[in-house]
Amino acid sequence: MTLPRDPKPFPGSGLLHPVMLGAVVLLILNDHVFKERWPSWWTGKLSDVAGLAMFPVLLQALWEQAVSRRARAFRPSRAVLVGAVLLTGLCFGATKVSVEAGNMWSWALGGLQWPFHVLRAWLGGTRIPGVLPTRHTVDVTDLFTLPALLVALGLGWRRSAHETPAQPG
Amino acid sequence: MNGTTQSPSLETSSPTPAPRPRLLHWAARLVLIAACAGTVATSELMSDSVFSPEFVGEPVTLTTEAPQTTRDIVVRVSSTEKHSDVVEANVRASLVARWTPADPNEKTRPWIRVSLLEGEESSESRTVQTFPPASDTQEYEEFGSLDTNCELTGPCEWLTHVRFEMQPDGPRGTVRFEWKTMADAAVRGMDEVPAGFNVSISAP
Repeated sequence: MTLPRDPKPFPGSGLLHPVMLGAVVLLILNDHVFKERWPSWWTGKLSDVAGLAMFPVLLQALWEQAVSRRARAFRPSRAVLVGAVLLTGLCFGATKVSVEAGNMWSWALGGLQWPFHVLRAWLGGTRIPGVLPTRHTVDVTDLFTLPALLVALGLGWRRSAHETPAQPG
Repeated sequence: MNGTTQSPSLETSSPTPAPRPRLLHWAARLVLIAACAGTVATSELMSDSVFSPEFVGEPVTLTTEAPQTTRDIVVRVSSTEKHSDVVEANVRASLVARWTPADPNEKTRPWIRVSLLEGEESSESRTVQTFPPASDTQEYEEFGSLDTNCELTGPCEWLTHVRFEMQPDGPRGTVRFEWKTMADAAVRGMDEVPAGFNVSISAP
């Protein structure tokens, strides 16, 4: 399979795909606008779909940015891609079927958000808040959104296929 | 997998690749940061706020000799449905302060200060300083967020202090405060107010 018109990949370039950009925008809009204005089953699922489509590529991009010092020698790794997809799927699945895993995720996200809450409190001159868990719904029906991982897998696979024509044999 | 089976084809097939525009690299980093932020900064569902009835406190009078006093109020939030979700509550005080100088010819005004304090918190945390009012009457509001580490597994209760102060070394006279407070509360992580959700504010 040759994809001569695909731009040459570079570290993190997977996130520049229009579908990924759309997923990031959708995730942010849904979390901060749609859910507040139209809280419903659909907006809950929309975040899962956008997140699952985007998150493996985000993990892959983080990996690529961390390990790929020399862009000229860069090559997208399908191993990393598949690993990111599997990791995302397993963690997502665990948080949707296990209350304990869901709580861990809520507290982990709350911990990551905490420095920003501290900064806001500090700038506003208010009391420094404690770490609070984020909202997380343990809902098995969210597993129906898992196929969204195929978006990340498909786009990532195609991105790494950019290399295929030049491979000997 | 690709990472282990591919040959270093890029370098052999294009030994002098065109330099990747820096703009694209920076765009990728920017999207990376946005995606990380979008993942971490998930919104929190928040129920509509429920307001308490107004609590009108007994008027407070400060004098140059007794320039400070505190009144306690209790904010209670309860629900017939028990939840592990966190309650977020706020309290606000509306005040009218009237200055009466001991000497009718006194032109300077003392500063006055009202603080909403939660628990034993120090006065530095939530203080709004007002400067000498231009007239003998001054209206304003003080707003404070209460500790949010309260889950709806049982009734939530916050003891809040309203501290009134006037300049101790200022012009002699009295400041009389008429004040009332109101609380509101919402539940984080819920899109609807739980059944039997009630917010009240009263003296202890």
